[in-house]
Amino acid sequence: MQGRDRRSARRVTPAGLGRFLARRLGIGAVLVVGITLVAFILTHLVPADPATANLGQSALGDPAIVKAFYHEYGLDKPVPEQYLIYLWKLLHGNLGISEQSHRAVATDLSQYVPATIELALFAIVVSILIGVGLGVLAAVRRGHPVDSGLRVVSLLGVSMPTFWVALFVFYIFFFRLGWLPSGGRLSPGLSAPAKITGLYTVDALLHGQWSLSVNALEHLVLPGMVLGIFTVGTVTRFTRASVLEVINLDYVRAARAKGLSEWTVIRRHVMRPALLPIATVASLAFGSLLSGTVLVENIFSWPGIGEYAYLSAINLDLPAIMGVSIVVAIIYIITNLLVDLLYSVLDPRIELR
Amino acid sequence: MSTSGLLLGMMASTPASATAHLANATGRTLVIDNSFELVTADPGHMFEPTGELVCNALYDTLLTFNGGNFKTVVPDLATSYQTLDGARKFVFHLNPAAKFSDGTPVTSADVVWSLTRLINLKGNPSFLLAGETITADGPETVVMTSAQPNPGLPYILPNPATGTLEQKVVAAQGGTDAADAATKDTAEDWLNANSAGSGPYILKSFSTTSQVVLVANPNYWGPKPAYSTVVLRNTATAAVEKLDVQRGVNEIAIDLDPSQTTGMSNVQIKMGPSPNVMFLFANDNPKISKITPNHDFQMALRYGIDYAGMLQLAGAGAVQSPGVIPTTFLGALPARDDAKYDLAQAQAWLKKSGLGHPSLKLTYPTAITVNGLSFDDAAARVAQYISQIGINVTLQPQSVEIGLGTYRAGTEALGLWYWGPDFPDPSDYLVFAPGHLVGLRAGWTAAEAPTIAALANKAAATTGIAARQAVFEQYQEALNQNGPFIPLLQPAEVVVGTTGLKNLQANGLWLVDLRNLG
Repeated sequence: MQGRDRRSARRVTPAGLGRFLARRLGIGAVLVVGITLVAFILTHLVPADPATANLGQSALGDPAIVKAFYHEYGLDKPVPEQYLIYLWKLLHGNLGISEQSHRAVATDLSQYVPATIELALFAIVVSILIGVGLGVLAAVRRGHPVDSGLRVVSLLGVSMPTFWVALFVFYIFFFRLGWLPSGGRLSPGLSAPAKITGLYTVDALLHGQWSLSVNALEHLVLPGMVLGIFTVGTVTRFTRASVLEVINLDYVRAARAKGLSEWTVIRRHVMRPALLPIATVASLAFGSLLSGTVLVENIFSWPGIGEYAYLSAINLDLPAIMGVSIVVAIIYIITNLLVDLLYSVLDPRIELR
Repeated sequence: MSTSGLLLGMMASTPASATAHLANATGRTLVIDNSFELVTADPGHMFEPTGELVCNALYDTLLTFNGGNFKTVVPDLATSYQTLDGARKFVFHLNPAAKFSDGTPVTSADVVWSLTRLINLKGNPSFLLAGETITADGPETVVMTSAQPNPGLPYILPNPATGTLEQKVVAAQGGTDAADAATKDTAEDWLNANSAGSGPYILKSFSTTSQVVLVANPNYWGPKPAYSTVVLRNTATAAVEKLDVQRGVNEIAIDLDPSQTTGMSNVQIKMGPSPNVMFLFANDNPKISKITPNHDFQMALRYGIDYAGMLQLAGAGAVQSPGVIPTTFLGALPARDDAKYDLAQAQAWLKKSGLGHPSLKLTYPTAITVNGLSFDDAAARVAQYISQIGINVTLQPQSVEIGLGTYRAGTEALGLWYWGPDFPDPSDYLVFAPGHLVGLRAGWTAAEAPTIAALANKAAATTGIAARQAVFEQYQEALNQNGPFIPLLQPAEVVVGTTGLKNLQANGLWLVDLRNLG
């Protein structure tokens, strides 16, 4: 009976997958609309005036300029009407015009989101590689001084303030040692590669600009390292716990008894079940990295969505705030969806429903 | 019609930067680290400090300032100008050598179009030329007229927002100077990726959050700029700027405060008083407070502030403000008019007020700084001094977005704010007069102080440098004696550069003068 259930669960038909995706995307769309409503209400609850935040002192004294500002951004209409107009434009792919940059929010986001994605991808890939490796090592050497040392290191990773770590590594690796460049995505004066993905390392490679790609990669290291430290700590702790849960189960001992090497046992029989919680943690960490890079972007002058979100918030730039909220929501929704799909690949007993 | 006919000192065929030592372009790159306050590179919309730096390098204005001297205007596109009809009319004569970066000569039509567009865009800087009508009188003469006297106009025109664009190029990209330009002009996007000016640099790339790259204008009509490339890099953290500049080759940091320059080596540090004036006000509106309109109470505040202590807090390079007009501008009061700290006098004035030991809230914007001086620290220091007089003060910090609302609504009883100049002319400080913009924020109406209101009107119409200096001094003395404002200090502005840079100096208007930098 159990075996039949497993076999039926393993057969995910294209139609079933389609229904699953359609349902999840439908729920995601409702969520996005809900998030626009929450963001809209919260922004309007702030007892401050966007004109005050965006116009200079003397310009505010000129009613014609203030009126033109309100008219340009639709702020002269009742709030419910503003929201409905926003939704209508959103349906047509129009995220509005940013009050701070005077450009289409979609244009701004197309510039800033790839920068953050590149940074977050770099950080998450490096973090997972290091974190899983250290977590497995700690589990295999449970109780050994190596385990204790790694636990201390992972604890430090999750507890050190990002701001402090960022300044510390900047001071050491840029100022003192000169091994890595200062902030930004490229060295001063270098032009960005023609846009394909928006990820400089990738786009430069695609255009055959090797040295530019290396330069972009060098600029990723310090902010990526700082972002990754927290994630490494978390992944290490979860990997250790996950591996310890399965490392002494009967089927693992049986694998050892067959004479397989410890490395083969871990790779084939321990890691697969242990990967489920790790995937969960990694997906959550990736979402956090994408939406929580403000401090790192600030210190390393990284022109990403965190910096854009911060500037939008302090300038009460409603269209930009809404745009950032939608993008972050979509990223979380897509990440969760991918992780759910990954679950079914890692463990066929999990059904996509 | 009377003609004041001020002929500018140098009828040079080159702009003001000709006076500076400039090396030939040698392919050098200059890096400037700045915490960006940048929205646009379109002069018609631009009114932010980083934008002024950018636009000053890209666009020429009729007049400009040489280095940090804001008391005298010098030629840029205009070799000379005349002040006519009691400062209601100005005539500017253009330099025939001036040409845009594509080699096209600059004409009066370009100037008229650019300035009219600035007005009609109804953007942040449009108020600069409010009430002005701009016309051409031949290809090399521009005439500006206004119904009201505007003697400060020559000091407004160096603002990079008044930069001259090449009309045919910008119009082809959707630019217009028509009355409905606010809704019809679509050139800003193009001007954020390209430039159409006659300045020493042209725009190569522009991002409001990462970097702006300028390259030398090969057709520049003045001396070749010293750097072939200038990279303005958004560096949001002063601590990072400090490390960057110490490792840099040709590099400038412009967001450090005096205390952060301590211990720096192998760099040049330039500091001086910024044009930002921090002030305290006691609201004159009895509906807002029963305490603060009391003149004796206001005098108690004036004598009760330990100005030396405030300067010690602000750090090296800061100066006390004798009046609301910064010490570096025409019309500033001499240092002898500085308010003096006298606790006994302050206590005597408070006793005379009959208010006993009143309790008040001191409102200020939290978590912001002006030239590195934290409002939180300054407010705490002010509260400490006021409490020594016998006034109970509670600090009321507000986020700047919310605080600006209460400040501008005139509902703060006791407030701590600052005024940064829109342009370096004393007429910008008439906003402190009763019935004017900032005066009303302090609940001060023209009806309450008709003599000072009349004095402000007289100052607005006075022409001639000496006469204006005298009348604005008189205006500020009246403010100090009878107004609700207590000017405190001008914090220091600091610029730090690598040792190889020549003519480096802090600039209160456009941060760094790229035209003079060698």
